[in-house]
Amino acid sequence: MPAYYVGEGATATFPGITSACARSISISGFSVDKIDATCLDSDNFKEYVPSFLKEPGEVSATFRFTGELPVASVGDVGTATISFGLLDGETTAASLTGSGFLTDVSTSEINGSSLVEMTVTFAFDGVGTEPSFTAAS
Amino acid sequence: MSRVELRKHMGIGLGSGKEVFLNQYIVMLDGKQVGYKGCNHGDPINLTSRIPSDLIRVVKDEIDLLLGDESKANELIGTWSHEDTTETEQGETEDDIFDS
Repeated sequence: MPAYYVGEGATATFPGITSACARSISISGFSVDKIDATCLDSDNFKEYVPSFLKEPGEVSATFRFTGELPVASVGDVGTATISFGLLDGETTAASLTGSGFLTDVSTSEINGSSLVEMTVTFAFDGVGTEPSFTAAS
Repeated sequence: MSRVELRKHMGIGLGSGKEVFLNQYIVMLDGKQVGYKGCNHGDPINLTSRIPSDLIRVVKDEIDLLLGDESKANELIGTWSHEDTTETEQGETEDDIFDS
């Protein structure tokens, strides 16, 4: 039976926040603008070409707030690494890594009935280490 | 024989499609990944596996030896009570203060 990634063992590392226990991780994905290149004699559909610049995107993660968590500051520059965890038989994990900076650090409502969490958002800067994917092995 | 090995963390750039060195090492313990270590002096060791504190010490010491570094090993922070192996039958751990 093939193994699938379900998030088990995934970790997220950001500047100032190292290996804290992540409860969820989201990756915004990467995108490129489409440029309308339609001519008056185009047939049926508008014509588009991709921009030569790509949007490097961002990642965010929510952690349990333990009080032990190092305090991160928005604007902190560094490297983010999302590790997808090890499946059976793997020795190194698939990962997404790139340089950038923290754009948002926030804490959930403290209400006595739900877990206090910290959410961190990191934007890839597109000028240092470009967002890069490493395959598991 | 060393139990810790450092492998260059390489990736494929999602913009350029080229192979990129990610300026950090993959930390291997007994042939399996347990974390990452930045290449700059003093960069922390960011663990990606929950390993016992004695093994964290082994990892840190061997990396410091390999790189001539003085890194800090960052554990996965926070444990649930069911993960706390130091709890006694009487439940005498700090988190039980809040249960009483």
